[in-house]
Amino acid sequence: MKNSMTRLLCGAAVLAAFAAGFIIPMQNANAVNAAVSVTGNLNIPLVVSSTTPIAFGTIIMIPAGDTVTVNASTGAITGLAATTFAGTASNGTIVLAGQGNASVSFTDPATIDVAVTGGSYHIQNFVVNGGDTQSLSAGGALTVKVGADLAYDASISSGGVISSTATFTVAYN
Amino acid sequence: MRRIGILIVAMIALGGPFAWVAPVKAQPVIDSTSSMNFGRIIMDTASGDTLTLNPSTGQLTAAGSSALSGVTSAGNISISGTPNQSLSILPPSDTPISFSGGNATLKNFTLTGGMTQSLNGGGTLSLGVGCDLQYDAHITQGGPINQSISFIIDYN
Repeated sequence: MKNSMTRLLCGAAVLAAFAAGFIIPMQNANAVNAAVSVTGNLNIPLVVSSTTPIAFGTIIMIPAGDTVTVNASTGAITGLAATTFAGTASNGTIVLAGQGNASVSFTDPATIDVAVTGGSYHIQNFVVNGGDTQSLSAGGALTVKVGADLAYDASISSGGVISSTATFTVAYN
Repeated sequence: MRRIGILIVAMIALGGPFAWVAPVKAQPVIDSTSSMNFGRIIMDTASGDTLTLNPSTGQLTAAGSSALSGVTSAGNISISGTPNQSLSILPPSDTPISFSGGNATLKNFTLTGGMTQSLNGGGTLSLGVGCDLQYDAHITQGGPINQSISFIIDYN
């Protein structure tokens, strides 16, 4: 019995030695891993879902000319001089949809010059409430209010209806 | 006891050589790596697309109509080891990235010079790394890409 056990153990030891001899050389001990990171941003397109206009209401001009401002945040209209106002003024709205949490930048429109009888007026100094760099929400939404100045010349002899289009450009940073 | 002694001697005599015949070679050393950067990809969510990052130039090109911006760069692997020794390189398998509404996949990994190369006489090798990024149509929200992939490098 003792002999049989000894033989069995020795046989197992021999088999283990063979196994070790075969297995160890088969391991690819010389291979190394080179880890490379991959970075970037994969974004859905930025879309302007809707806009509402900047409304100046009715501006009763004064002979000296003036600059009036629609506040981007509140929509209130004010003049530097004694211009009076009627009707309803309001700030504009831009509604965006895009990549959640993405940062975007607005480029404001250039001055729009409109000629009228005896002079011209200028829509200028466009403002995005909250600044020209903002972030979309986690859900990918952003609504901003916009305002602008309207400067009119002293020499205007006849006014008219204001109807212009100003284009803000917005892009991912 | 004598039999046990004989068997142990036999075990060493038979088992030992298998272990000793295994070639003793130093490993190649990865001195440094730098990342692949795809910059910013504005997806064509209607059709999906495949972008290819060139391992040599780092230039990103689109097979379809994705809009590309930002800085892109190829990755790099710098290796040192036995001078003039040839190497085999096993690229990573396809690596999926999940987004809302669909997936993107990093695939078709490439190296400047291919997957079999040799260290130079000074025992160094620098490899540019590129790959494809394929994304599905109808992804509703993307996000940052931040993955790690591994090449396996071994002496031939």
